[in-house]
Amino acid sequence: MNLLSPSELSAMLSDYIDGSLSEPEKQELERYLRDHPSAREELAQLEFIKHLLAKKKTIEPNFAFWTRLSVKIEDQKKEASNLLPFPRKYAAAFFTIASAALVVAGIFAVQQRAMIYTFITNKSQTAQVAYQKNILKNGLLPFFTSVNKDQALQFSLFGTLALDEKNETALHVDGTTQKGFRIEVRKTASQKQRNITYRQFVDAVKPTEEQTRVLDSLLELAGRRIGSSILVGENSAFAVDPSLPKLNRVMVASIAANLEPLQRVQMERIMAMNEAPYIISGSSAPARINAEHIFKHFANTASERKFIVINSDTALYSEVAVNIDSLQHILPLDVMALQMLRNKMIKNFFLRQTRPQQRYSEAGEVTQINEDSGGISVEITGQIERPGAAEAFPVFATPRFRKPFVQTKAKRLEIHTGDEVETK
Amino acid sequence: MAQEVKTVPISGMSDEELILLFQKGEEHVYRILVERYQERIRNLLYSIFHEQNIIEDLAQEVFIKAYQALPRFRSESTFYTWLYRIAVNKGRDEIRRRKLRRFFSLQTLDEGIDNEIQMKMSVAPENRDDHELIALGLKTLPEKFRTAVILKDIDGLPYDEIAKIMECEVGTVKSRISRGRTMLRKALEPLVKEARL
Repeated sequence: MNLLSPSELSAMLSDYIDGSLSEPEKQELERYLRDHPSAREELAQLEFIKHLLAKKKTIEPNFAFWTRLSVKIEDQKKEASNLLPFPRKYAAAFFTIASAALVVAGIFAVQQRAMIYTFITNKSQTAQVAYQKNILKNGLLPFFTSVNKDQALQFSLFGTLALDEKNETALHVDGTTQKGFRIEVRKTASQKQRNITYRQFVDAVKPTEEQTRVLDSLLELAGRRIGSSILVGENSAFAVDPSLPKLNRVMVASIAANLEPLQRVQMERIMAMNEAPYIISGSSAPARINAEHIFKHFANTASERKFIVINSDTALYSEVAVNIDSLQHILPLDVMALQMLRNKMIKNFFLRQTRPQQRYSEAGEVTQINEDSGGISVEITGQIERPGAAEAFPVFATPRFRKPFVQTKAKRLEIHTGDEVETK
Repeated sequence: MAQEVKTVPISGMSDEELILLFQKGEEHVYRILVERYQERIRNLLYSIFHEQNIIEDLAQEVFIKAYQALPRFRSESTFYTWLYRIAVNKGRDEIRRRKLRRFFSLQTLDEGIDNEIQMKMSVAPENRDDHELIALGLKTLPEKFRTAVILKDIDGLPYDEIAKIMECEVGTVKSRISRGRTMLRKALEPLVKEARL
């Protein structure tokens, strides 16, 4: 090989260290290197540089990256949604027509109020009859005699509650599905364990005395709400308040709102590590929200006292009127009986022989049951409220992933009146 | 009879499947794409600028731009290449912006870096941070050579992938890498010679 110019030599050496020379080129260069010590020196220096670059330090992981990004994306969406879907000049006409339509609908509703009242009452009675005939013949009792701070925190962060002392079965509420929410009763062995105790949480976020007081109060309130939201019937029926997924979401937001931004990053980190269903979001990174505002926000989770009633082979979404106060009153008298009911119910869930059915409730929501060896899940569409601009609270929880509903081949049944059932 | 329930593990889906879902309105899947690539994009920008304080903002801008453009993504290249191209363009814009600012403020940044390298080289070898020196050396390279060297030697990408990201021919990529390495060798000559002793 003739003497190479510096640029030709650099180019060949560069290709050589990348292994991109052909075999004849490679052999030719290696012969050249044997005869030219300065070229060998240049090759060694280039290899040293390449080696240093390959070992270059990487940047620290940023656990709050998505949290920040999601806020920016939401802000951009809001800006975009401020634009009307039609030319601005038609806005006045549109709002006039909409107002007129509202007035007409209002007049119609007033004139036909008797008929509307009868229609609603009949529907409600039909649901009540279906509920009584199908599920709960012998009354309901609260499932939990008390909910401690660990349980309340577990539910608040992950929507999960252990149903037995050995922590083998768990109730899981999931408001992050695409079209509604899901309530599952599962063996814990069949799903990923998420377990953060109150002590671990406090050690991680290091709340001040004032923050600890607010956190304790929130957990106590959540515990009471859970206590009155999960009921058990004497024929192994299980009634769950569908506002529980909302409680889960509001608790994430309330606990986060009680923290300063840096503590919130810690909380987000714990939640990310345990794949919690929600992430913390907000219009910016607000400082700690005052306690009064937080508790006012929490009060929005007030239940409408509708229950999804599930037993080992049926589910019904029903507007069940339950007087929780009276149930709480009789509870201390019958703790042992309650314990037996719980154990029986959990056992029946996993020993059932019957195939689950799916029913269409009078309340109008599609209820679908899916089952596998690990448990049973009930999916209800169109019930959960999504966080958004309407929720005037600076911190809110948004789903980590929006899950699709599980697709099954389950038969779908519809109840039209009472217990008259028609297969679809 | 128990029925088998098949769930769809979104996190296990390929980039192409996720993009298809995104384009059908399931925008929430974008989080998975972000989590998959944010570390690489942040590290790419860190290699280009070596300034921790601006990396996060630039990386956020890259992902916002990708989010806005994703509905029009046509899979002519992989998502990863496409995202890298956005990041490289973002880095180029930032460098141009800085050059313009420097032009008006009459600063001479390159001289500043050369002095910094000399200063850092003058400390005892046991106290010297070679990573810091290599980062400073990279900053002396013109943008197109710097990016080519980073994509090849730090990210370990093949020539054809780099060509797609930098929107040029493979031959041009090879030439930029070779010239970039030579420039870097000269910028860090004292360090390289000392290591060879």
